[in-house]
Amino acid sequence: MEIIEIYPPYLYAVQYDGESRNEFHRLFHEWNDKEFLLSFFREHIDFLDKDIWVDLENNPEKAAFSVAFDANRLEHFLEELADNARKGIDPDFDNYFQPLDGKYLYSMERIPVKGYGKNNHTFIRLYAIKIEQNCYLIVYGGLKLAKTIQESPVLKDHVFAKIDWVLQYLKREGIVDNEDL
Amino acid sequence: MGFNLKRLQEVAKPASAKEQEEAKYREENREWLLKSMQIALYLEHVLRVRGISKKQLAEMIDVTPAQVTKLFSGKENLGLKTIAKIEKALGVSLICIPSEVRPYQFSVPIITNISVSNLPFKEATGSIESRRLFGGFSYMSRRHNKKHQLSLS
Repeated sequence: MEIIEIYPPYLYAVQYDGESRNEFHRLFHEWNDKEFLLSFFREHIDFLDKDIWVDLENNPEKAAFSVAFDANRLEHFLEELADNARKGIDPDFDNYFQPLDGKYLYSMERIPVKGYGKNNHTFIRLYAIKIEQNCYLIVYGGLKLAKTIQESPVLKDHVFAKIDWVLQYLKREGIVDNEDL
Repeated sequence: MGFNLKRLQEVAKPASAKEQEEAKYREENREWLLKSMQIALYLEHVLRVRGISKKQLAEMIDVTPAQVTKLFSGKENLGLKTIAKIEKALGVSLICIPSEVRPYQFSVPIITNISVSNLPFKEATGSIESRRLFGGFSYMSRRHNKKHQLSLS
């Protein structure tokens, strides 16, 4: 496992062993890949039947485009936050990561500002550990198909497992120095 | 606080050149790449709903299957010629021209002083303006406020 600079000193991402990309670039590569998205939504077409996705009208092509659209806005937005910080404007990443409901106080979730669906839901998620103010380590991400992580097939076996895994790594590397964590 | 940022910065490595290039390419080409994706997904939808294969579409627009594959990649910078062929073959609209400019985008002189009819262009009578008209498209005549179908034939 390695830690990769995305927008240092604000954003970093994990690259897992055996992976050719770090998590941040992996996600944005997939979220801009038409074949990947279409294949994903065709495989999980049953989830588009849920009430929160009613605006997508059971249409995998529409769902795929909503991901590409949100992903482009998010990537551009994070690029702008980093660019503003480099120009001397106060970095503002803290306003756009919210605490993840679950085990860890310092684990964070990033949801795009704009959502689809009648309750403004959106599929894309980034999961991060907050290292300190305005500094985040992306540990995983994916397309959340249901209201909870536990109901989402791509996320349920990975989000908390990966947070645990990364914390162990951070302890070994001396990046975590509080045993209570 | 339990984290050592300084230690993290010592351990962190820069992203690979390939990843940085890919991210830079996405940032510099974001708008048209998104449109290309949108067109590709829309066409996937149309083909799925109508039960047309990509091979059949290739025959309909007289291109090779490899060219259709590129078209459907969602990363292709499509030309107007290709877009027009697809629109005609499938009877869909991929580009919408704003109505504010539509009357001024025609390429054949039109006759404005004509009576209510659907006569082909060459049979119509009246004075000719230097406006430009695209054959086969209906237009709103300012003078008579009538809708006429014109043809280049």
